[in-house]
Amino acid sequence: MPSDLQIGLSGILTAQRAMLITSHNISNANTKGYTRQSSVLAARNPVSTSAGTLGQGVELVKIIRHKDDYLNSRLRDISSSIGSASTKSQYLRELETVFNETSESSLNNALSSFFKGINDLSLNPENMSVRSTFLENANTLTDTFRRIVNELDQMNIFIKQSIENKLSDINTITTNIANINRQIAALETKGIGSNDLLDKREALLQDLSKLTHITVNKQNNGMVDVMTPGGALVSGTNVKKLTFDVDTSGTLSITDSEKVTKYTFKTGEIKALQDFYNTTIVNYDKKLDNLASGIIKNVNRIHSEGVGLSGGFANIKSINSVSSATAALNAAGLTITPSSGDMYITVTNTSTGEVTKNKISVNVATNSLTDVKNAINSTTSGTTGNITASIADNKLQIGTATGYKFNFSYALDPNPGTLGTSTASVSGVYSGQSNDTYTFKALGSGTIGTTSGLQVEVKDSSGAVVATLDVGSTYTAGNTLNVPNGVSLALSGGTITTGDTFSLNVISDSDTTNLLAALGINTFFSGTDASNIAVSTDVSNDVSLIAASSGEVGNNTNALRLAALLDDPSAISNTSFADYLHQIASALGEEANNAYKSEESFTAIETSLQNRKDEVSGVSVDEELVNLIRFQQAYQASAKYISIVNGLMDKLLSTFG
Amino acid sequence: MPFRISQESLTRTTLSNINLNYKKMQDTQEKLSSGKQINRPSDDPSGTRKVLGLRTEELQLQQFLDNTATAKEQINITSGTLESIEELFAKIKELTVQANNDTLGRSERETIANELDELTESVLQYANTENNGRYIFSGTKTLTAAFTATRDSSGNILSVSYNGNNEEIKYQIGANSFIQVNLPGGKLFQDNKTFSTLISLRDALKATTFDSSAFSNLRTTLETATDALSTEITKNGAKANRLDLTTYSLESSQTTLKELISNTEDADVASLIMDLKHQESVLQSSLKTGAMVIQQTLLDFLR
Repeated sequence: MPSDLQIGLSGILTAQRAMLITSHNISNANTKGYTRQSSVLAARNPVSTSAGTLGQGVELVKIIRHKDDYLNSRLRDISSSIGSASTKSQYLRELETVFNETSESSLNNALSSFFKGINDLSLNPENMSVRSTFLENANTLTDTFRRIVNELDQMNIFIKQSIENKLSDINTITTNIANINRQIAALETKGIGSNDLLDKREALLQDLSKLTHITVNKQNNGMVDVMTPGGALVSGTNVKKLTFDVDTSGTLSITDSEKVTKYTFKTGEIKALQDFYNTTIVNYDKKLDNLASGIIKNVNRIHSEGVGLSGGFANIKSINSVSSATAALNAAGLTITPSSGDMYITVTNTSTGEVTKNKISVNVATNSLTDVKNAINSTTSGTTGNITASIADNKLQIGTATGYKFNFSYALDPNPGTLGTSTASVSGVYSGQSNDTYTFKALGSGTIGTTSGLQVEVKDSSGAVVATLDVGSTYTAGNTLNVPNGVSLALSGGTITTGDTFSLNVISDSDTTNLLAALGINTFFSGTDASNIAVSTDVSNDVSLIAASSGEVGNNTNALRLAALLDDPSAISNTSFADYLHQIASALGEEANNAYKSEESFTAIETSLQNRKDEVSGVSVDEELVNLIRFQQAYQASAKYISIVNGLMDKLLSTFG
Repeated sequence: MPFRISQESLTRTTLSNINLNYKKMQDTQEKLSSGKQINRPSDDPSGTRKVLGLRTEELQLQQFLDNTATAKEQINITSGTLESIEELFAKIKELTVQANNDTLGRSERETIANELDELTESVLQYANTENNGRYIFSGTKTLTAAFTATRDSSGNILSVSYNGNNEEIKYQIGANSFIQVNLPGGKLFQDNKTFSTLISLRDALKATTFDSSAFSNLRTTLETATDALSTEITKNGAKANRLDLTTYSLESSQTTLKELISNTEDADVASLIMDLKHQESVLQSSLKTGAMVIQQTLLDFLR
């Protein structure tokens, strides 16, 4: 009889325990990382009788945790990938907002307004308000450059903080994992399973893999080691704490707390942040710098050869200094490296209007700034003392005697010389591609405008005849004659003799050395890259210095040359400024677009993996309810059995008692 | 392992689908409310580059159009001035025809001379025409009066000198296309010969003895000056025509460009609204089914 009650009791107790497990499942139906548990029931050891073995009831032999290690490790991997992709897309979205290329305040618009300002200047070169507007446009352009650089810097600071926070998250999680490792190992030695601790650790591993990609190695004692390509983060109960380090070149690396070992991560949020800091921002920063320095260089190169409203300077000092006044110019530490060539300084007597063109030839490999200074001082105007060059603080300074002014214009010499007793005067703007010297030579003798068939021949420096001009009876002295390439000549009345000659330097580039732009003489922009680009102080203070002209106030030749930069297909890296900028914008868009897409696809994979994991490990309340009813009925049946046994006992006792 | 659906995965699927539907609607909504297909470069990177390039091109076209308009204004002012001067020359010619009559007495010639003087002053005034603070006949020395007269004590013009230069001012009205918008006065007035002829005519009339043959020679010179003026008027007219044609072709290019930009950038409202309606109904059904599925468990039926 006792075994009868025992069987009933085992049924009641086992059903009760099974219901406990079921209700544990139900109560954890919404617990993150919870793994469904279920009971394994088995018949108790039977007793032998002569008839065979007699069952002794039921017992709960095991509580199973329904898990799939493969799915868990796949989920960890995908969660690292999502960590990378979502961080990347989040910051690229922010970067897109910083560049903001499709909006009004974009660099593209600022660049367009800058060139619109130049265009308007070409329509009204003498108008001060047009000049001021152009200055404002230029300031907007430089401000926009600096604003973006500043925002990139801000982003970098923020990312660094973010990395710091995430590393401290990693350190907390790895410490917790090590603690759980200890608890699990302790229970394991006592032979006790630790399902809920395992769940907790699995959830921590999942969180950790979002931050960085890890591999998890199981030990026999139930502990896990957490590995990364750089080394172990957790081995048993030991934890490696992480921190970061920024080296002198600005590269950020993840290291252990002693800053000895470097950790390289495969994927995960930290890796994405690190890449963004070390590569993406640096890359866009570089592109911006490239654009800014291209604009500075090209605008300055043209501007330095132009002339402002006053027609010239009495005194000018370079903005940029050389490293040494005696160093060769190509190794003197100038941001723009000058090249060998010629430079022209035009000196004008302000009272007589007499113009002297001085040519200075520079070999950048052998000449130093001192040589240039000496060359200026030994030109025609230099020897007469009309201009004087000097060097102070490794900067070139040029000044004039009272009553003189100078500029670096490519304007033609208006009075290049005489032919016999006839004076030549030249007008126009030379439109040829490269600098040249035209020699004018009388082909016959006679009186200008009278002698029939009188001609003047024009040859270029290679000896080719450029033009033959009729100055005989068909010509009226003083009228202008067209010499090709935009040059016009007028001869005053007089007599010429065969062989009479004079020459004219026709210049399209009055500074083939780019030394003016390199030294910062008569330049529009100061600075070297996107972080320090600005309109030069001189021009900001006096807009009349904006060099729209190559001579007189109404002359817009230099403004037209500046305007042509917009279309210059080789202005920067073999493309135009605008196109270079558009490339940056579309490259950023492309990168962001890819990041969004991969974030989306990784999330889809994660969802499907999660669902698969839930098929195995998730709690279905309906299923648990069915189980509950099943065990409830088992309980009720066992109870009924006990009551029947009890009834039997009662009957027996009352009959015999 | 039987196919099991847990509560967790039910809610996850429902939520992620609802979110996805909201995201799609938000995208459509953004396009509809901004009217643009591309709201940031990542929406369509290659389209963005195309649009940015086209916009730069459009801006440049707009500048060429502005330049053409300004050039037209300047050329019209020059034409107007030249025509006024031509009218003055016609009057002067009439006067010289009157004066070349031997029957006229000295006082009558004096009257004509005075009238001629007035007309010369008018020519000088026109030669110094300013547009927007700029002397139109001074070459590039636009802030300097083109001509100055030297006068005797009683204010009669003795001589006129040209202070400008012969440099051209060009405006850009197209890629690699420029137009000269100024007319240097030196060339126009034949290096002051026009003025000296007018002065000589006046002086000839004022002279005690009238030299008829010298007067005739001066009249021939005046004729040449008038011809030069007429040539310039014709040239200016041709320039105005060229500018009109340029405006026309620039405007038509601009229209094409605007269309291209709009095709790439602008939202197709009709199809977007259709999309939105569709997304709305999908969202509604996902919300409805979600509500149904999440609410129900076996408990609802275990009474």
